[in-house]
Amino acid sequence: MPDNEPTKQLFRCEKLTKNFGGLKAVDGVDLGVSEGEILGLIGPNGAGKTTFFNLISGVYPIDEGSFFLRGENLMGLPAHKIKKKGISRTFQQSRLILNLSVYDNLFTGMLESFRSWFRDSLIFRSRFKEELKRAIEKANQLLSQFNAELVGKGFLPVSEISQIDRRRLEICRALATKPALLLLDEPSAGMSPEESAELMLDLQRIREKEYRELSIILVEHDMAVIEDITDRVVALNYGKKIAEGTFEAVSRNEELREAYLGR
Amino acid sequence: MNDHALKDWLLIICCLAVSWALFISVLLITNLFLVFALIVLGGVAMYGISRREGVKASIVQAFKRRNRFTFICMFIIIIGLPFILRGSPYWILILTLAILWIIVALGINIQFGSAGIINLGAAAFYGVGAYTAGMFAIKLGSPPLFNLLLGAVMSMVVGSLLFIPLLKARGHYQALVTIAFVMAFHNLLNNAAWLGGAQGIVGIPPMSVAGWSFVQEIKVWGLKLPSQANFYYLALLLGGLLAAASWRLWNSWVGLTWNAINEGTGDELSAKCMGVATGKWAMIAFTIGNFYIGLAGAFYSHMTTYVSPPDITFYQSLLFLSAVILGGVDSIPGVCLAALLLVILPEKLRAFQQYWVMFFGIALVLMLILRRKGLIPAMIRIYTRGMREIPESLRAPKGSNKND
Repeated sequence: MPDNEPTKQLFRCEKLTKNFGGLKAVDGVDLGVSEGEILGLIGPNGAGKTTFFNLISGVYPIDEGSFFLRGENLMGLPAHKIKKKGISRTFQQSRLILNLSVYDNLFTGMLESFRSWFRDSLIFRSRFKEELKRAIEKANQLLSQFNAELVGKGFLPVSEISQIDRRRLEICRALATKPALLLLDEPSAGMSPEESAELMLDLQRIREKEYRELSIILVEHDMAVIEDITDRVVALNYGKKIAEGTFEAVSRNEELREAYLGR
Repeated sequence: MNDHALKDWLLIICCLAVSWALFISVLLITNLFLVFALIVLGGVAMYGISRREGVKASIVQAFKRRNRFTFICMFIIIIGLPFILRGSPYWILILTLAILWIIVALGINIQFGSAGIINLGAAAFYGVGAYTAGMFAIKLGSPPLFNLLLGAVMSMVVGSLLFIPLLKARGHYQALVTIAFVMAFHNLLNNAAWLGGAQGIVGIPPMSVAGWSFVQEIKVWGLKLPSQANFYYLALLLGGLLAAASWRLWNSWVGLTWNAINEGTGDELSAKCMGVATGKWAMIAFTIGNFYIGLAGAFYSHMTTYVSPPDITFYQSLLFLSAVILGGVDSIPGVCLAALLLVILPEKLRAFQQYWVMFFGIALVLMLILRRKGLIPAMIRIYTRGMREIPESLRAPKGSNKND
């Protein structure tokens, strides 16, 4: 999706800044994401990619600047409210609950959509059961988009499924409530190239099927993955945006080459 | 088909009868050697059965298939217990105390087991319940049932004083907040003259419901039950209701949310990013747990008619919390079993009273080394009975793997 095409802008941040002591981890970053776009976020270690995610998902408070989803200023909202507004994320290191079942982990991603709480779970059990049934159907549908085998493993503890299935499950969990913007923090970290290719294929497939309007910001070190699936790339270094554009354009950028290769 | 059911029923009745006969004889026999021999015999029998795959499988199958029948049998036995024990009111009293402990342990299980808030101040909330009920009964003469509710509510209210420090602290520091609270509360009770000082509150009127005083004997079908049976049945009713509520909450989105914010198993950061207001849910768990603990405390003061500061110590809190660790964190059946054992064993081992704490310490350490998930480990949440159609192979105990 070229820049000049008039598409609807979904997400925008202005002069986003975060200081850790004297270090500017994110330094005045301006960035926009259109609806349905996959934006790659690249940069060497310590460039501020994960900090950027932590800022726009509400994990860290923001020092300066602001960010908007569909024109609404979300700056200063706590993490759980930002999620409800439609920004969902995964973590670089798996943060699944290992001794809960696959379903339970997936349900934690759907909690905000549930309506049966104290009254229904204590007294009107049948209403809770209705909701449970719907939740399981939804979960099965989500899981089968990634890996049909996972459906049969719904009641196994997560500690008993494979690493790649855990990644899939984590993405499913982030997708469970149909977010507008998905932040993927190095989804292929710790996986073999084949596995990560498989995961990216899964991701592309479900986007084509179910989640056409979903926008994604993807942090990834594997340039083959970035080249394959992103529409546009933004490069960070020392917290500053140093390049933006198509993968070809950005990969020709001198400063970025220097940052990566250390020339 | 009918043959099948008959076989299952017989198996269940046999198993329950043997185990309850063992339980009751362990309670009633005073000769410790004999008790020990009985326990060893029971252990050997269980081991023998567990070695014979065929027998074990058919017993397990029977219990699984007929869980409603098992439930009814258990219910009859528990209701009938005072009839069997009517000759020894002392043990009825101890079992009533055990039910109060179960209520406390269920409360701590909501706080610590489900939501991961380490409450080492449970005795303080027990004390708030007990003192509230005692003071209202003595000063205003309010009806005991009302005092029970009041004690529980007061314990919730006092618990809310700790919201801010608990929300600012994390993990072990939260435990410190609760320790500080129980110590401060103990000192307050010891020194506040209007709360009876070191003497505590004496002469609290015993429980009575709608004019029926609990110091009366119960007469049923020509059988006389000692007055302690009154307390037993009321505690059983309350405990049953609270346990059922606990079970339903565990098997719902509420229990799942608590697990998600639990730093020990899940994690708070990811729960936040999943849209959970973590602080709010932690405090809901803390408050509901305090309701349980306070109710048990209020019942205690109307049962013993006496409550004093030595009942409300850090050590007592530790014992309460250890019921959860011993039984299995977040496992409701495990927690109930452990609370029962923690009341009955020290009574049984009165002769070795000074060694009890040592025994207990060793047992707890061994438990943490050998069986970290407790007597009955928490299971995977299946939510409702309808979910039983899931094939056997898909259901496994929670976290039964090596890499944790």
